Amino acid sequence: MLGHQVKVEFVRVFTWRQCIVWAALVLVLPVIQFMIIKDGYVYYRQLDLFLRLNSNFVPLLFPIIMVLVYSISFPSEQKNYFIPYVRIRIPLTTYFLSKLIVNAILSFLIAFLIVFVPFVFSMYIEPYLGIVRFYPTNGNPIPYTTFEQLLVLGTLPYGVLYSLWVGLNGMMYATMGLLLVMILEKPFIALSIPFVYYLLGNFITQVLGYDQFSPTFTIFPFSISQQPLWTVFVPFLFLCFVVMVLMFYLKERLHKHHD
Amino acid sequence: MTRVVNKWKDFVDELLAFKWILFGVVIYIYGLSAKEHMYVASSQTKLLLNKWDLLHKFFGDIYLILYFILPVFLYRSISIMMSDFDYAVLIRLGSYRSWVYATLVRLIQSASISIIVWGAVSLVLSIGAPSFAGWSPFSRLNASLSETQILQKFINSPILALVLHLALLVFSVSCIHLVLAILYVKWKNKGIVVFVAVFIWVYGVVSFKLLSPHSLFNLCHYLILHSGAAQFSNIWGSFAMVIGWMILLIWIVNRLDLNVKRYNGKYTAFIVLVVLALWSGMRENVGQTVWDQFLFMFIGGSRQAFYFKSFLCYWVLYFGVIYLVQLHLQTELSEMGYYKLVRYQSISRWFWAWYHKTMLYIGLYLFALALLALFILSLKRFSFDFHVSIDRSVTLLDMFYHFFVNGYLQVSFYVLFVFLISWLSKETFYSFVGLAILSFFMFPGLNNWGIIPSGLNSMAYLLTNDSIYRITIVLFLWNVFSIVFLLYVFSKQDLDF
Repeated sequence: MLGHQVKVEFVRVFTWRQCIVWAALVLVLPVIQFMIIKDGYVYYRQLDLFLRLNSNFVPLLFPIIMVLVYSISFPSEQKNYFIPYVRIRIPLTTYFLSKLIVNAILSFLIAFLIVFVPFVFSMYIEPYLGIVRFYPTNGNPIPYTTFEQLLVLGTLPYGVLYSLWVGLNGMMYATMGLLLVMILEKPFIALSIPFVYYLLGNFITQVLGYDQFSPTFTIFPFSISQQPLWTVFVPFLFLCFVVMVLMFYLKERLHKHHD
Repeated sequence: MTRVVNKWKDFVDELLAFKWILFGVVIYIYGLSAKEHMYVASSQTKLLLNKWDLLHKFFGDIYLILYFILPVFLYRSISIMMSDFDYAVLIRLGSYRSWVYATLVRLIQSASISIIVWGAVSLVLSIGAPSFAGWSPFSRLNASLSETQILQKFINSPILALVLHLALLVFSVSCIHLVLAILYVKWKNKGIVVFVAVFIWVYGVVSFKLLSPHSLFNLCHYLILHSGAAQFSNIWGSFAMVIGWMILLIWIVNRLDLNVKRYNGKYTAFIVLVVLALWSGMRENVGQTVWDQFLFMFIGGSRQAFYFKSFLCYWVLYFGVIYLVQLHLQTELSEMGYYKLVRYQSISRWFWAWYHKTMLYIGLYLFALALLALFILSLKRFSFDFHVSIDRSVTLLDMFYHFFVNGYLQVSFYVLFVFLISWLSKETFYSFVGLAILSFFMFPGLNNWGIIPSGLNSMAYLLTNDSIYRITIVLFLWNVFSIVFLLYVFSKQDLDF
């Protein structure tokens, strides 16, 4: 039943309009960023271009983008009293769980692509086009970033693993958003909380001087010097913990609330 | 009379109970090794000790208190709570508040018995040492080998030091008991209370072992007087902290029975964040005067200077307040109905009423922000000279003009922007997305002509060669433009009469 419902949700969500929105989410910000940074910066490696593409917009807007993937469509079901009619046809738990699964898969894919498309572009396509000028290092130190430890496995595995990491984080933020919408039933507060959490996490780690644990820098490590890999799991595990707590809370409350 | 006699009888009975004998034996065994340690230290320094040194040692040893006394008291506190949380007792006492105080009284009774036992064992142990005669020559040594050597520097009378030490211990244990009792009354769950008690003990040990001895988070400073005296360089620091906690807890206990509406923490959280943002905005090694630091606190970003941290501070200070406005707007819009429109007669009148009220609060917020910033700065030693030392071309008048006038216009634009998007999209969340995107124009290279109204009230613009009056004009035009657009939207929607 759950598998069928997930299929139904997928069919419902794949409309032309929605696909265009997703394409825009993946492409618009990196393209704008590329236009801004293609001149005026010094690049030593193709990888520097990729890292620079991943700075500014995407890191700051990350949770908002993730919420816009799918969770944003849920409040209208609540507002228009769709849920009570769903209950007649399907257990509420199955319905909500299928929504959560679809949301997780889609947000994972979008977050993955948001990083992987620029990666493929800057590592494999841009060298043929030659838009960006590269400079010899001349003995200047190359700024290494976190996750470059994975480069020993090869360039493509690095790109895939790093994109998977971003995808995983994106999935967590999207799940947090959707869970909150289901719990609070106040779309504005619920959808803005992932972003507020992310921003305050950054703010507090910056103020206290623990930059290596900031939510942004552990996903997009462009503006911080290389850190040991374990540091990135600290905020991630905390995020997982928050999502788990929300999940249990929803499970406890779901039936009490809708009965 | 018989009641009093009975009470005393109970007291003596309990005093002779097996557990207290066990308690005494443990202290005795520990005391023997501690005594030997003290004699060794005394003979090494060739200075005579007396009974006070030994008593202070037995009463104030960190290891003894942390590994034995604290767990015993925690266990006692929990066992009193478990046995007394009974409907018969609760009905007799009448309220949770009196129940908490009743258990506290029982705990203090228990604690005083243990202190009597502890004292008796200590006196027995100190037999044979030189008699009481003020601070001994050993304790006058300028070192920190023993408890007395630390305390002697801060207090004249050894007996007063001992009394204060025990008072501090009882106070902190009472605080811990109040915390546990409040949790128990709130959740009525054994597991939580036991977990918290174990957590407190583990935290005490870990903070003693792992944190540096001069960390404020070391629990020993608040349990043990000589440890606190070494940290704060006076004996009152620990007392102030513990009594502060006590007052807070008593305040909470007195509200336990009241049917307080679920307290909404959003304003407290916001104020904490604002204070953090202002505090972290200071750059102590750059500017000397208060006004330099005031400028740094609100520096934000301009097209020439951009720091991620300043950007985050700007987010908290200005977009944070807009977030509160959005929360308010959301309830306002969801309650919107024909009855409300009938009351206000037209949608634009309703909008003006809302806008005036919001902008009044925004003005007050800016004033409060400035006062709070100056208050925080007055805690640090900056000079109050009336000039900006980092850039002589900036006058104070410019700075205030920029902060208040441009700040007001900028925030006003944010409010209108948020309202416009919420109104058009019928979903306040999109205004949040819009605001986040708008804030990007604070990044260098995106607002090269300074005409996009995003972060234009950043103090960083004072340090560039932009005219602040030009900024005022830009912001003013944007405000007028958005109001005109809004009125146009209202008239299009045919709700205006």
